[in-house]
Amino acid sequence: MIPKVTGETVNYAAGRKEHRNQMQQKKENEEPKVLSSNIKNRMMSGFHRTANAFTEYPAKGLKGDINSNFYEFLAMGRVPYLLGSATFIGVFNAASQFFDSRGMQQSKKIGLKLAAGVIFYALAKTLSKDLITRPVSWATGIDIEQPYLNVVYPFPKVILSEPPKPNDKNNNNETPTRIIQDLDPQYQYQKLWESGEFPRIDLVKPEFFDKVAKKNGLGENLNSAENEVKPILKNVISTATTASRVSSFLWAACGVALAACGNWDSYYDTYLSGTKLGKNPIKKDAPFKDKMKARLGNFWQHTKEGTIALKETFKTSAKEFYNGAPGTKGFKKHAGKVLFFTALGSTVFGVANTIIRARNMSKNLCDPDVIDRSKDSMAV
Amino acid sequence: MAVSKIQNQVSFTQKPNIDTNSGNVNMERLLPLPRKHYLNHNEIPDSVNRIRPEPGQGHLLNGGFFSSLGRFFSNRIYDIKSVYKGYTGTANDHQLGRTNDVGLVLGGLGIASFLTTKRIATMPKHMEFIGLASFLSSMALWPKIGIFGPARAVHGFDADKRYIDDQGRNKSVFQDPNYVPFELFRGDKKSEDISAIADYMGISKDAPNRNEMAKDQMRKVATQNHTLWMLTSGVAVPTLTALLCNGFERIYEPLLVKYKNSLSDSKLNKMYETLINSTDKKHTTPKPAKKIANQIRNFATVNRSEKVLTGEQITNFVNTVAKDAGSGVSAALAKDIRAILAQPDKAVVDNKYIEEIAKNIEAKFQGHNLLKKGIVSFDEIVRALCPIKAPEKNAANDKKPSADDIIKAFKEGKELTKDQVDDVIKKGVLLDKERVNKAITKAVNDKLAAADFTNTNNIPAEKIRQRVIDMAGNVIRNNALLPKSETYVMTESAANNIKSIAGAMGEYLYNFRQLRGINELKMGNVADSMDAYLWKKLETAFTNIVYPNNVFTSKSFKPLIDNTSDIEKTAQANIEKLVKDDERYAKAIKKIDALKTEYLKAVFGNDERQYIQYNEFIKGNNAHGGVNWNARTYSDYGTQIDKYLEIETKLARNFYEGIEGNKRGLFNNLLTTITNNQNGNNFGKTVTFHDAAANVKKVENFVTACDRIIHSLDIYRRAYLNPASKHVEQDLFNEAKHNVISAQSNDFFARFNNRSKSVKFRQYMDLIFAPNKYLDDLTKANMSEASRYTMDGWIDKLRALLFNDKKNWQYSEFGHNNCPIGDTYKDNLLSTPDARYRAQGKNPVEFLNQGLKNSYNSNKWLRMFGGLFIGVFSLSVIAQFFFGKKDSTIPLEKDRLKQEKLNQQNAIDNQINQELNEELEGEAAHAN
Repeated sequence: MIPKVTGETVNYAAGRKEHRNQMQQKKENEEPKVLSSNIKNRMMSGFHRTANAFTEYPAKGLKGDINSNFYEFLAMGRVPYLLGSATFIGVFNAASQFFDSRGMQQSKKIGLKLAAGVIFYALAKTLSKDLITRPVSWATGIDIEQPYLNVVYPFPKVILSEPPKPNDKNNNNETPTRIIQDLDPQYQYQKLWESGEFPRIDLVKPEFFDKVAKKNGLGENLNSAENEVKPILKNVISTATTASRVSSFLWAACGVALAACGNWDSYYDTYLSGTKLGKNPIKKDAPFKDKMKARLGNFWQHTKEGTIALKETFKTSAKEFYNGAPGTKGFKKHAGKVLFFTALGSTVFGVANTIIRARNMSKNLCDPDVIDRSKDSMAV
Repeated sequence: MAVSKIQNQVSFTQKPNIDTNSGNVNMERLLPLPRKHYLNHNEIPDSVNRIRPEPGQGHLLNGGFFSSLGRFFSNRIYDIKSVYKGYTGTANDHQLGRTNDVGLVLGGLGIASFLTTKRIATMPKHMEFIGLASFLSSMALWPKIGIFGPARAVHGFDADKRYIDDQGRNKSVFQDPNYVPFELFRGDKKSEDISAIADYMGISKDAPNRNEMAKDQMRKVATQNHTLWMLTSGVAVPTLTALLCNGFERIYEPLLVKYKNSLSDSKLNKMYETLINSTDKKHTTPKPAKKIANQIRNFATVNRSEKVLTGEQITNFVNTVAKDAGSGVSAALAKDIRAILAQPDKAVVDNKYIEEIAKNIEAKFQGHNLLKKGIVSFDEIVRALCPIKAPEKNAANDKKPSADDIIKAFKEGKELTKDQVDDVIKKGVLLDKERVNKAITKAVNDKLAAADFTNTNNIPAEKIRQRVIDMAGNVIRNNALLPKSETYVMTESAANNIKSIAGAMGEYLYNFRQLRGINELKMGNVADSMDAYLWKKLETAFTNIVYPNNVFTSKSFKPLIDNTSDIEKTAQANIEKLVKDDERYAKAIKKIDALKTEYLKAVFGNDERQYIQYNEFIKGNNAHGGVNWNARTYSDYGTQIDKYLEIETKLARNFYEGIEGNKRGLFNNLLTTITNNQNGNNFGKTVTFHDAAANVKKVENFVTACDRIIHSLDIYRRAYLNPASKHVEQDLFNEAKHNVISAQSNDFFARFNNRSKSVKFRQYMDLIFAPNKYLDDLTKANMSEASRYTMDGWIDKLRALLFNDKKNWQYSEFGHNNCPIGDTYKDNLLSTPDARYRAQGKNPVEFLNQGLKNSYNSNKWLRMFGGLFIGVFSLSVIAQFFFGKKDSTIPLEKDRLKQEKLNQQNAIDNQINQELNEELEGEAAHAN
């Protein structure tokens, strides 16, 4: 049994031995494993990273823990995004109550516009990644979003307990005792193909390479599919990652632009800032059941009307985004179109570039001038 | 390259000890050479030939300003290259990481560019990009000033240190705590010397593994700081962005305003040169002007063949051609074109038209027993319009007549087949109303001729028929039964008439738009025009004068906002304090005066005294638009406003002269609007100034506002200097003090008129409106000449407005007979609320209310963002003192020094003891 972290002191040598045994056991049990690239796993991975980024990782990092690693630092990278958005929205909306009536309206308007912008930015940025990664995955068999659960064994940390006080007659130990901490494995949700230089090919089954080879036109029953697929894999990681990074920011820009069109602020004002639209009166002394019924009715009505209004607002703002505000001309009229087609163009180009390059590479590899497949070959 | 270098260095002192052919290995080679420990491989002399690695290329980067700046640009080039490599599939992980940053900037530029389309003024447009730049620089700046700067001060090393690795990639040393390239700390500089850092950290000098201890500490502190960076950025970066934006806006806005102002001037000068001063007779029409002219010509040409137009078509055309042409121009043009094209005697006859006639006949005839018999149907009217020809037998052999021939035949009243007639009516045909009327008469008469009138009393049927036919004729006469429709037909001559103004109209509209654009830069209703900017400045300046040091006290502004009586109370108290302090008072007057001068200079060029002459000139004219255009030679003064007036006049004249004399009568409305020329037959003395007149009002607004402020302050000053003098009683002063700062446009005149015409009132008026007599010396001394003049002018005007009724005694009593404002001018000046406002100036209390609001809002904003930022900043600085707490196993230098001191003390003690002992022993021995 591994000694508990909390305050329990153990003999260092004994602890070390026990720790070693335990480690060996755990290593047998826990290996990194590939997760299927479904929505559940991707959400789980996002949730795991985000939740830890706000709790465990900063707690470790602020202590300067030796086991605080680069993965945790990168995971914490989403804290500024979320906190920053919240700050932006919060400050403008919270500020509004301090201003005079006109200033309050202005501030509220800016705040609501900002809130819409931030939400649309995040939505567009996240969702648009699939526009690149899905087609690439279908065409080449390589899904750069493919998650895997990594298991990391931390450094065992041996710290000294407080040295015995010289006057303590009960304590017979002359040397300080040691405490061992941090022995549980750490889980990291990583992506298989995040790195082009060190792709985790050790984690995938050989069938994967056969599938990719076949999809990219290298043929079937290859002698060493892994070796032939590797350069293609590396290429796809580079091209698809670049494409999704660039285009997702452009889509995010479209999202902000969409939020700037139409009257989102009035939608937010009516349906999201707590104004109750339901018309069922709630009597103070009515029985609980009736009150609940009225409340639910109001909620349902609010939701229903809100959904219709959301659709309408979205429609008008999309129209204004694409066609320009009425009465405008030139750049003002067409800016939305330009932005939209730039984003769309970057997506189409990114996907086409990735797939065509992968295909071309396999064509080159299949070229008999490069490798004559009719002859036996041996991996060197 | 590195590999080949290594291969080149492969050589052996001994003979080749591996025989590749035989595979024998020389065993001697495997014996260990004598080793020299701790020798840097770079220091191994070349004489010792052995395989050795290339010297490392990695090195730490120093944080000097210029080298960082240089690296900033090279890094951006690296970023762009990374994207290229990413797309070609050859990027490494480091380069892939950089693509994210490029994406962020690209997306940011997309957002900023799009949002500019939602902004009207230049400043907010630029602010979108400034905001993006501020955001990007805040992201870079925050860790430097908020995290790693304080960390360096507390812990003695830069936790944000960057290095170039062997592949030339720029990386952060401590980013990955599991891989810190400590070997790059070679000790060349103090910041790269681990032992110096250990000194700073206070690690004992005789500690074993001292450098390792320091490295562990560094790693720990760096991890803590990187975490702090991530946790604080979310709050610090947005607030810092907002603060940077705000700060930059304050610097940028005046520059932009100045730039726009001078741009306006230079454009106006250029326009003036080409339009007025140019002696070049070869005049080339600019392309946009030609485009407008062609639009007009096309409109005439395309429709020339008797095409019928609707009123809506004409309005649409005019709106596309003459939009932004100033009020009334497009309406006048439309009116003239309609008049030219109108054909009151003709109508487009189609199904609807005939149906309506049938309906009208029925409505008129139905109620009458006898007339009723003459009601004709749709078909009967059509047949009367055009007789139907019986289908010929050999018609198939004939050539089919063209549509034009059929219409021609229809118009000539020839016989046509039923299908042909139906076709023509369906499409509609332009006919004389007279002909239609004749056809109706014929149809009705035919019907009546066939009707049976026998069943009546003894009167012969024929007689009745004749009476009924006469009755029907009376009803039908004068086109009474025809539908009322306006018919606009583009005949050949109408087309020529319209074309005759195309060239002149194109030039006028083009130039007018140019001129208006130039004016917008300076006097536009946008926040960054000179006009709006100086108003804002005046508001702030006046508020700061009355409520000084408001940055710290603006909290107390909230209850004042929109509470005018409290504002007046506090403002009175504050101004009373202000006027007691000569220095502050002089400063205040100077400040307001400077703004006034700045405005005048912007409009009247560098010599603001032009305003004096201008004012005199304008006084003699109608300030409401029409100005006697040849009453003054503009070039004598050459101010911007003069040039503007002259160009507007010139454009109007050019337009007038661009139209052939005999055609001018056709464009009465247009000429009246553009040239203020009543019947369009000659170019009169006055022209209408669309924008120039508005500018005149704007100048007056601002100048009067300044004058009223200075005058109000002056009243307070005089009240302080002459408490209840024999000339003026205290309560008069009090009333004046109250009125000058609080009278609104609604009650301004009422407040003065309400007083009876008593002697006191005279004194009261004298007190307020007699600047030359009573304006305080200090006030006068701090005003410019032009400013003093406008002040006099303003007061003269106000007096005249109040008393220039000849039946009233006040005006002559004051002895200002030379006041040049006449009755008509007075009526003009007071005709609208706008004019009254201009005459009396902006109410100072209103001014302060607005100023306090703005001050409160911006202070609130600053306090919130600034407070948030300072909070985060202090938090992260304080955090440094909790970071890097040393392990109890690390021996500290201060303990060592203490111990050393103790040891020394002990040694001294021991020595003393020893000496004492020896002495004692000696004494004992001696005693023994």
